[in-house]
Amino acid sequence: MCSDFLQQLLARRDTWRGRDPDAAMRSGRATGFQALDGLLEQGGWPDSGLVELLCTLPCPPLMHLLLPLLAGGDGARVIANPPARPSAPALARAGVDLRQLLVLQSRERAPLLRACLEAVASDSVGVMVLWAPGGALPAGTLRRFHLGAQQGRCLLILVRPRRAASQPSPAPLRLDLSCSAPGQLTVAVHKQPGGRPGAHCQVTVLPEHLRRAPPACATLPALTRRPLVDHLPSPLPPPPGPLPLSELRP
Amino acid sequence: MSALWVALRFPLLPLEAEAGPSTAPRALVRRHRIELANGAALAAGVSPGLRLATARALCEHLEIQEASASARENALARQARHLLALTPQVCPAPPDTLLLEVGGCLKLFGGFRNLLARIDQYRLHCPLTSRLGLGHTPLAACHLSELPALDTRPETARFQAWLAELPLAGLDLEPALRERLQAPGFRTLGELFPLPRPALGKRFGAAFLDWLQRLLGEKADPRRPIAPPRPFRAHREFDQPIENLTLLETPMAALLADLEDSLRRHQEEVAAIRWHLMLNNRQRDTLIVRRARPGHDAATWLDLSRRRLEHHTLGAGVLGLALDSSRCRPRNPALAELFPDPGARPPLERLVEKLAMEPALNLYQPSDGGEHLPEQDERALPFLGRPATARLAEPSPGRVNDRPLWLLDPPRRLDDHNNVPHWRGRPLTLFPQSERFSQPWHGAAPRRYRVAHHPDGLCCWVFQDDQHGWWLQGFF
Repeated sequence: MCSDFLQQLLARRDTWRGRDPDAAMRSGRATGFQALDGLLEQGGWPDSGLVELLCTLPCPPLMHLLLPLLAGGDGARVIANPPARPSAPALARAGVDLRQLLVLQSRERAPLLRACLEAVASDSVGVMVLWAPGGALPAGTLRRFHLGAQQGRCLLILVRPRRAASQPSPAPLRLDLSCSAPGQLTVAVHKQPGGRPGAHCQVTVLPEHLRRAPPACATLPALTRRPLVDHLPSPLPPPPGPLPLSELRP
Repeated sequence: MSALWVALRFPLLPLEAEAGPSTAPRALVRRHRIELANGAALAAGVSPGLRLATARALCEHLEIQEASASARENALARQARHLLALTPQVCPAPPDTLLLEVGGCLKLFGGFRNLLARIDQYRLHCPLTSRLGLGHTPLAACHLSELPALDTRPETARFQAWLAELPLAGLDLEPALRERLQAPGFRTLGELFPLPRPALGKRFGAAFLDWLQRLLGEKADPRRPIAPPRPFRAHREFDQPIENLTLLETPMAALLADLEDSLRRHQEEVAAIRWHLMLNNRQRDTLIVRRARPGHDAATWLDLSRRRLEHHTLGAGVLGLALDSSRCRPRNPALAELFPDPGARPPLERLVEKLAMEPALNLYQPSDGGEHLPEQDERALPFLGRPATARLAEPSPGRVNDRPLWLLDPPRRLDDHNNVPHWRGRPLTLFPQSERFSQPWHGAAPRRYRVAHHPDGLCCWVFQDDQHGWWLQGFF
């Protein structure tokens, strides 16, 4: 009797299972970052549903984390309400098919959320990245997004400010992102099916030459002086070669 | 009512099909021989049959054209469509004649004289040289092109009398047949009329007898008129003005069902439809509904129309509703898949055409614009009404420089303290390497781009120009 009731309860969509024995068997979509794959219980992003990324907005390096996701898989990709304009050449270089990419913007909140919900549930879209518009997002809206995304086989990545972390959310996966250094993202688990909060990892998203800090003298006015006075001898010439990393780090 | 045929012959059609009439000497050439020459060229002595070199020697500024059958046919078809305004019976008679049956529309234009005035008006604005012929049969209209000024519609007997006066030597017949006709001493067509028909057929051939009987109207001469283009138009009127837009859905669905029916019957589809709402205050609102790909199904059109209607506010009650469609295109069944993949996702266009009906949304597809300045480098491709061959960005291996993933458009001005750029009140650490973007032809100052680190852990792309200092262009 008890087993039947348990099965019935587990079959419900809104039942939260702390440790799902099947979770390890399910393989998610690879994130493209080994450390992050190791952090996630499913070995990658879930196939569909709502994922929340909590960070201090705008968090530009966050997009690098999602580029492998946008580049692979089937269906269209939608970038909704981005804080700035995603650069087409950079996306194309990362392997994103621009013919399948749609950018959606709106100054008004209600039409934006309605359009996103429709897109997510339409089954045409494989991945959507949505920057949450200003104002609170009620749990009912988030639940509709989650169910719509599951129904439309879409992975909806919702980027929210960090203060939303204290609010309950129906998203099964919530990650906290922070930029510790340029090109470095610290990803911490806030909520995960089958996992415990608090686990974190470091992800490197930029190439080495962009992450390496410039020599300390670069902040001096000499280097940034306008070209009208370029012919004056600069008091500190730039160093001849790259310095070892240990000397550059403050 | 007996038939009355008008023949419009365009004698210089091959010459004028592409560039219109010209007062300069111009000639049509086929295999290095002159085939056709206009008035100025004829006056200079260039006659059909001359060698091209001789013609050039005779006329120094002779314009030469190659004969193009397709241009000629297109020009004739275009004129035929224009003439549909006069009568529905417009029959092309290649190579250069259009035949119009106007007996049935004399009353519409207010009599014979008014109709001739309309035709003269058309000929005045027509870009081709034309000759007018009139007759009681199509062939008679082709041959009777030099008629006296007419005030009333001529009787059939008068047409026959004019035909009787035509000399056999001037008729467009085969030379051998013309010789055989002239051998017994016949000089005009009229001399053949009283002769017994079977004997004529036996002596000059069945084809000639057939031609003569069709010319005189003794035998039917059926012609096939061109089909007019068929844009869909339908409308409904209401007894009471409708204030509530949701009540319009039922008549809309009925009109769209008619549209679908018509499109299905002709195996066609349309890319856009137009709704006209006739308001109670004598105004008319027009709503255009487009689709990413042409379609014919009423359900999708109704859904899109409903979405379009949601954002419309009425100035007054609706008294009438009309629907018309854009040009119908033949449906291409090759595009439909016979056995679609069960797991396949529906195309993005279907979602986009729904979202495009929401005016508050801005949808675009990023694409590499090939411009020099980074903020102009990208073109936002609108989805609907875009040409099919839109150029899409290819990952270009040549541009190996670091380019940021996010672009600020327009660039944001940075604070400048002691020549060090500051953002959010904190100084940026600049990389020593700089990249120069200069474009003096735009009148803009040259820019020197650098990568910079911000203490918040951001990697920024900034530039400095001579006039205004530091700007933030994007983020990596």
